[in-house]
Amino acid sequence: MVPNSSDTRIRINDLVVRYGNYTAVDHLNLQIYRGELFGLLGPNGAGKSTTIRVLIGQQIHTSGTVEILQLDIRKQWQQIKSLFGYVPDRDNLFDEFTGRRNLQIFASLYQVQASRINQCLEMVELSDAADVLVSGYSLGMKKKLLLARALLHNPPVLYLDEPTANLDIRSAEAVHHILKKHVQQGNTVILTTHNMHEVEKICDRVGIMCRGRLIALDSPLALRTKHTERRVDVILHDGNRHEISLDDRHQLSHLSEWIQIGKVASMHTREFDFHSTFLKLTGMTFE
Amino acid sequence: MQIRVVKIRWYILKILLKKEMWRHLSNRGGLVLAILLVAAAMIISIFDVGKEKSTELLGGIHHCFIHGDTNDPWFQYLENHVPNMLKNRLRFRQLPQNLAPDQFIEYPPGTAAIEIRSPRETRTSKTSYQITLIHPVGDRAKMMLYENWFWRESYAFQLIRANQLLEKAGLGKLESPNFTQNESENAWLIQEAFANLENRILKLDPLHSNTKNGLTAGLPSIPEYQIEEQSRRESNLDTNAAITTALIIFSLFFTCVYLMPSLTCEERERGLLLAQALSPATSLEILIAKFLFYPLFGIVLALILVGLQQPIVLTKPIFWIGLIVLAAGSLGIGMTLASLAKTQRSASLGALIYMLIIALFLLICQQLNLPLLSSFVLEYHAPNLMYGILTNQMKPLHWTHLGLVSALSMLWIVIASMIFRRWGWQ
Repeated sequence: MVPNSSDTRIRINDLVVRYGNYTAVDHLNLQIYRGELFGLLGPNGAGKSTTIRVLIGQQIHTSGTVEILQLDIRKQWQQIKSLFGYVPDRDNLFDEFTGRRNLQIFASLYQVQASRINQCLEMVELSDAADVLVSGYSLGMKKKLLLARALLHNPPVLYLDEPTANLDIRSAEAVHHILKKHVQQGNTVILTTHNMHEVEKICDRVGIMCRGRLIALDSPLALRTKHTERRVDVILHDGNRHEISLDDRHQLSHLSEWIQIGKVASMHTREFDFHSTFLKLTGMTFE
Repeated sequence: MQIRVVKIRWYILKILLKKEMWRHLSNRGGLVLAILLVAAAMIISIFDVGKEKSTELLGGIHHCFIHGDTNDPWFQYLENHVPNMLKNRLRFRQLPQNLAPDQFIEYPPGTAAIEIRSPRETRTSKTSYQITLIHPVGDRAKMMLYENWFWRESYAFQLIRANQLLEKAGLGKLESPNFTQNESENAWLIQEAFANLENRILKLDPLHSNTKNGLTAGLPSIPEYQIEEQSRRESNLDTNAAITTALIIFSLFFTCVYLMPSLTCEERERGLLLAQALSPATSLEILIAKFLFYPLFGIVLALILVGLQQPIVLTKPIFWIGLIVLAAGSLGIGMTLASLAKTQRSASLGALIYMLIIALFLLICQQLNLPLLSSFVLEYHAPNLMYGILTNQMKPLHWTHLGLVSALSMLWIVIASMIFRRWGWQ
């Protein structure tokens, strides 16, 4: 289904961010839609953090336009502020307060009902630790509290920076579940991560950035289709190894013959590997 | 021209103020120090510390004023014969014309004065001077340095003058007495020699035996000196008021120049300012909350301290004006530090460095006799103003201090705003 323009939550047109002579984001064009979980990938220094900083109003861009829910980020910033939530990669909680008090402060700023605090604490499985000082929280608990804080006002747009870093498998699953649920409600989630498995598992679309440019933009499935190698590795009983292309009829007939005469010791198809694809696309493979 | 309407939402301010209060209730270091200050004020108040020992805190006489009612050759001679070691310590001024003989100038604490007045009526035809030595109670000995110089140079002046006249009359010349090192440090000995000067001239006068009224006309006459001594108690330091002044200034410094930058930088360092800035609270609201909380904290603390020491002062509008102006100035300094410092550590160190720089600057200004330079510093006027208010001695000088404190506070706020706009939320 092709989303129509009214579904566009974030529209980035020709975005350029320069620090002196260094171009951190180079003519980026991107649209992210309602009900979409978008993954932004890229190696360090690719420009994804700068892009997020522009989106949260902490970085003034050199040129281009950025709109969130049809509101210009430069001109209508104050209106935009209540429309998004942000989970940073590094915790920025009041360590000297309890989890509940941390949420109380922000709930009051967003003018959210007190019952929502309990709801969010429950959502991130922190109800039992709500009245414990944050200084006593583990890294994972802090991450979950950050997510609860970002979800307090049920924002239509949610930015997350490495949302499941430092989380155990169960907590990571819980976060994935929350994000999916948030998206199902018609909201938009944008996350930056280095976890390829996570991207493949939960993202609807993926953008890969390298040296400030967007070098790939598609759904994980499309990327899989596009980048899966149609090859089979075959090891024969005599110890010889062969690489068979599934698109080469001649090689296929050879393979068929080997199978029939029982010459094949083992055979493996080349599965799609997001990690290798990412490395290949970003030119980071070690040949 | 487009006018931008800035909207401040009270509910946001209330939350941010509450947040600051909660932070202080959780990190109790600030509160402990505030309680210690209150305890100090209570102890001073209960035991009435320092009511009688009013000069002990002064630490000697750092300046001596030489005041004369005429700019005669003697006065000019004194002014031109100041040794290097006293150059920055002696201040020559003319006495006000309308000063009655029984009226004296009130000198600042830590200073002494030698007032030279020529009485309007004299019993004899001789010139007569009234010399008044004014010094703080208990510091007579510390005045000897100035007194010794005064008598030695006055003696030298009269001797030169006498020799000129004696030579003109062909009667020779008086030898300058050779004081030993110890004697030249003894003002009393010089004073004695001074008193004998006329006798030495008389011995040279051949007609002296024939004249009943003294020297022959044309020969030098040594003026009469009526020496009077005054110990100043009234203008000395009122220890109670001085301690209260120090407590007030410390409480404002502590809250606005130390705590505020330190905690603001901590919030910035930990990303807490970013979290607040991304919420519906605007930068201005966050700033105003801080502007309200810390000076208010300092003012409340100062009020408690003053209430314990001198509650009557709380009824004086001038005290409130002075306190608010000082709090504004301290806030300006604190905000400048908060904007310049990148980390909590640099903010704390910055506050201490600022305090030391100001202390050194004021000390150098005092030693080099540069009162004009020190008047550019808020910390020079603040204690003078508060002390004047607390001792109920608001004089024109104190009003000047108030004016300058207001101007400097305004300047600090402007500087802070400019720096904040440039670097504040980084």
